Amino acid sequence: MLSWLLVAAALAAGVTGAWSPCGFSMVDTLAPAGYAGRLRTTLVACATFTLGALAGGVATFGGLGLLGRALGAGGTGAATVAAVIAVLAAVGEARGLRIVPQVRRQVPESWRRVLPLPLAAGLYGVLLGLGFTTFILTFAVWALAAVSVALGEPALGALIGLAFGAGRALPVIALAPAAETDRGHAVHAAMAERPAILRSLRAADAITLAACALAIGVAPAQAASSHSSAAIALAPASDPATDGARLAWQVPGQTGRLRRGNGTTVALPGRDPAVGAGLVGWRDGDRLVLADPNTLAPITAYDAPGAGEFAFSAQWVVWRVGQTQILAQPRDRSRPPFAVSTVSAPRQLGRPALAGSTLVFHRAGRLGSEILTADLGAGTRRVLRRERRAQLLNPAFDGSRLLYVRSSATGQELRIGAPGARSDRTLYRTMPTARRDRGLEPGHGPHHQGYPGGRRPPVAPRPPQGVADTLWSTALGARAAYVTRLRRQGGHTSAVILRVPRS
Amino acid sequence: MNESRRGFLARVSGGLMAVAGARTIGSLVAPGEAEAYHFCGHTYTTDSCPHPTGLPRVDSRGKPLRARDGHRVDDLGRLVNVDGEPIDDDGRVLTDAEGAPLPPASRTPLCPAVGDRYGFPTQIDGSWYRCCGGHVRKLMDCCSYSRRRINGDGALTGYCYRGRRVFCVIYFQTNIPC
Repeated sequence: MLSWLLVAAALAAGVTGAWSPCGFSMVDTLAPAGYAGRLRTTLVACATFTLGALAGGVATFGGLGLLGRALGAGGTGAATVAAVIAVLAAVGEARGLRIVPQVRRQVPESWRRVLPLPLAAGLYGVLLGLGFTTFILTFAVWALAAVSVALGEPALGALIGLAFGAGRALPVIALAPAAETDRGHAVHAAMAERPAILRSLRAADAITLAACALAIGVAPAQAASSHSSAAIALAPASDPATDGARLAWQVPGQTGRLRRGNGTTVALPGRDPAVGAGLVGWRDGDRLVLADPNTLAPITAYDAPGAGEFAFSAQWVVWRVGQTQILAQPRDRSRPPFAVSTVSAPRQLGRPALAGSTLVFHRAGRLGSEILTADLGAGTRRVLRRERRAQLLNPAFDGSRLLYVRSSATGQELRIGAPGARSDRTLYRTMPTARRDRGLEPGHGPHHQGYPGGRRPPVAPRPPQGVADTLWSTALGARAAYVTRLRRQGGHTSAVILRVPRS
Repeated sequence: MNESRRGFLARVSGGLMAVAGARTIGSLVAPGEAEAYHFCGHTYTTDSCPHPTGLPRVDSRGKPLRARDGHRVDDLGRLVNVDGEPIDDDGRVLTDAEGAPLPPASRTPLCPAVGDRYGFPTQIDGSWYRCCGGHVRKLMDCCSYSRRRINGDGALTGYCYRGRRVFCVIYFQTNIPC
């Protein structure tokens, strides 16, 4: 959602730029009757102008995203600053205020005389797409720059840049070929003589910026993804649980929270919240309490000495003791608690997830990791996924689809698939936890001998210096998946919950 | 006069031969840092074995180390302590949001891991030592019967035995000064 709003804001900001001295000049420059001399040259120049504008936009906003990443942006503080700037810019646009700070520069006029027009148009496009090299007609440009830095996502920055470049190019390539027609003259005159059009565009800029600010406030930052967009849904927060209608999570160092279907959020009187079977649960010391989600009135409770995270369904309640044992008990207490799985440290068992009588959890250690399932009713158990050199972590299960984290030296993925599937779909991919080196020693260069086409294969992306992100616990809703992102930075661990659309 | 001239020429030519000989010998024994490709001491173009953190530095048992400081890393590239627990740069254990330690991961010797990844057996055969960064470095070839090396083109014999060829390369930095 935030991505689309930013694209809309960038597109509107780019279009607004057509009212600048350079924007008007471009229409005249590319017109067939001008330097082009004929329509074919105009069309070629329009194409190169568009490419230049797109490249310029990507360079500026993608570069700002890179800068943000290098600065360790992406947290709630930076996002809050970005939201505030977006609000201020929206107010400025709504009131039609004079743009400050202004860039009082224009593209070089001589290029269109001394260079072939398509080349000049391409270079003009680059300068206009860059955004900050010529007059600025809307506060949205400044706001989008701040947002790009604050979110710290080069891919999203590049998307903003593409939209901005497209917005800058659109009026020019729409008007230039028809500049000498009656209709072209009329449009040009309207642009020049009717300030209401520009005011309307600035009002549109204000609306899109306000929507962006709102979205950033709800979802403060955007995370990198090559498959689908992921946004921070909750912060600080960890260990999500959902049954589709309700979402529960743990606030680090505090108690759990519950967001009901109607959007209200309440603090729970215990930790490690869980949802299922129409109820909400929390851990109160060594007791697991299940309660009505509307009133939080306890309905039942189970003694679970040493329990940590837990899960429950209509038939079972399961909990983890330390990081080495998972116990289960029928909800009707027809059996005493029994161990489903036990390991010896340093091996670890993960947080349990439950759908009906089917339990899933991870087992990870120095010999590799695996995701296991246990049919608590039948007493059977089998391995669903196994890898030796990658970690498979924290599965969630909704009865038909398995969601889990796969972490390797080259990246971290949130994957989804049927339990028995041979391959899974990647919902979200981000950087590996560890930062790799350049694969070269100082004073040495890369060689390309022997590689197909003489080009080395690309290396995996690497996180910023001093930042170690770990994708962690998951939850699977009907329309979205959730994953905790742990971030180690400056000796401290913070946690947020990312929301990733399932489609 | 003639004898003294001959003597002088003999001394000069002898000196020149001595300098040339010394340079020839020097070129044979000098450490090969300047000849190296992407890391010191590696004088051929076969590329590094896949390593969790990039440069293919390993410990004496072939397990991955972070090249810049020799700290042990797991297969995910995370720094780990002696118990295999992932740690940060300050040596503190990585934890979840509630302070519980994150699970350890495998830490596999690099050359066998390459074999698993590419689907054929691999092993370390011979090696060579060079002086790098003030310490002796052991350069090792990860060998296989594959005719292709990791770059994708033909593999070389390198330090491999018995018909095996170099698939990729790794190194071990000793503590021996040079």
